[in-house]
Amino acid sequence: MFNQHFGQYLLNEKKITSEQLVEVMEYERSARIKLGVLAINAGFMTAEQVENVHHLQRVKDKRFGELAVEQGYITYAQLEDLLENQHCRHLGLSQVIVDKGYLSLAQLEEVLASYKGDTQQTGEEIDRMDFDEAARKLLDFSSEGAQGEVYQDYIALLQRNIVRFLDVAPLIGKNENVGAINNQWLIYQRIAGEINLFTGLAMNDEALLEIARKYSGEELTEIDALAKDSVAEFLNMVNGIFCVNASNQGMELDLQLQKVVQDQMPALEKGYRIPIALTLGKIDVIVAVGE
Amino acid sequence: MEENKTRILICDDSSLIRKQLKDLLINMNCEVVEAVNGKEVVEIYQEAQPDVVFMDIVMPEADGLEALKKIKEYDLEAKVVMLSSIGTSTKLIQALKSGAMDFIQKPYTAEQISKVISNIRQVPIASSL
Repeated sequence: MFNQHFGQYLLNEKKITSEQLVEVMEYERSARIKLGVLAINAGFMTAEQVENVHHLQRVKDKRFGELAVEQGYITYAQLEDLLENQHCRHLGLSQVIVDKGYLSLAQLEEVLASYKGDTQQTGEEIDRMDFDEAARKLLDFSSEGAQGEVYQDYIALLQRNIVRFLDVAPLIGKNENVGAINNQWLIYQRIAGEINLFTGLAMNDEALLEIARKYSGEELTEIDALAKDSVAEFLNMVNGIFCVNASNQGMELDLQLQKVVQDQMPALEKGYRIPIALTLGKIDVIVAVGE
Repeated sequence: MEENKTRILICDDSSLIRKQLKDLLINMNCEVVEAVNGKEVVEIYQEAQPDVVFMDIVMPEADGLEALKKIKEYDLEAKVVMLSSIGTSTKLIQALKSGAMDFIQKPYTAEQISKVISNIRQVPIASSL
């Protein structure tokens, strides 16, 4: 969860692009976390000191930790502490971002410091966060009252099901006004009853095909009825669970037919668009009052 | 129609559900016919005389509830299993009151479908007599 949360932070702060983020998320699980990134994260060394040790490694056949101690940047106890933490996965994303050259060590040092200042939470604490908390922290529907709570619950449920069925690491961005649909497919479904909710997934051709393939397990090669129905069925399944959850709280809801349109946005009273970056492509989740 | 095979009518507007359910049922040695909405299913039921119908609730033209009532008017003994993504919907309760044999929440599992087929095969099937 730390990697997802930190990735979202980088995206929101425009430190990296969504394309770069999707790319690094593919590699973060296999990344070997190096002592330099660990030392910066722990506050034991500055980016400049890490760069200096890297420079020394070009002229001396010595390990990073050994040189860092020799230079007086860290103590042996701190080195042991870093080595013990080398297996922790929560810095995988930071390591890949540096390895790919999307941020320099100095930029990483700066952004990690501002991130920690903004969130007031450690990586370990964020690792324990669930999607409900993550959505609640990032999304702002405060002007919507009770409907805002519905949106929060819906986005958290959708994220959980994306993890279950599509992609292990969805990265959610901040909500914005819904706007227009250009060069995109929109798969949508209304939920009606005590709660009226419009739900939609907007995406381009590539993302639709990738998501359809992943969810259906079918060998799809073009955007045909089967591909469109596959994404529509994913949305229908999520919405079905939403209705069951509502029913458990005493609210009876019904689903209307799913629809798939291109470059069209149904008239909505007020809606929001929430970007989610997946390794399968970028999607925008649309939520609005359903009537 | 082939003899000795359980005849199944699948009715769902989703081509994904129809394809995957058909693949599964063919592997269970069933013969499958399809309908894409609640209007078509009533006509195809009369032609195909299936042993069991798997039917969605939310569909275009006519929904699963209307289709169920019409099928039951035609054949009181019709065996219809409703497929729904909402396991608690009032529509589902209405369907059971209207004579649906059972319901399965989507996404279904192969085991759930297999259980229905086994139950059907335990009673004498007109087509195999």
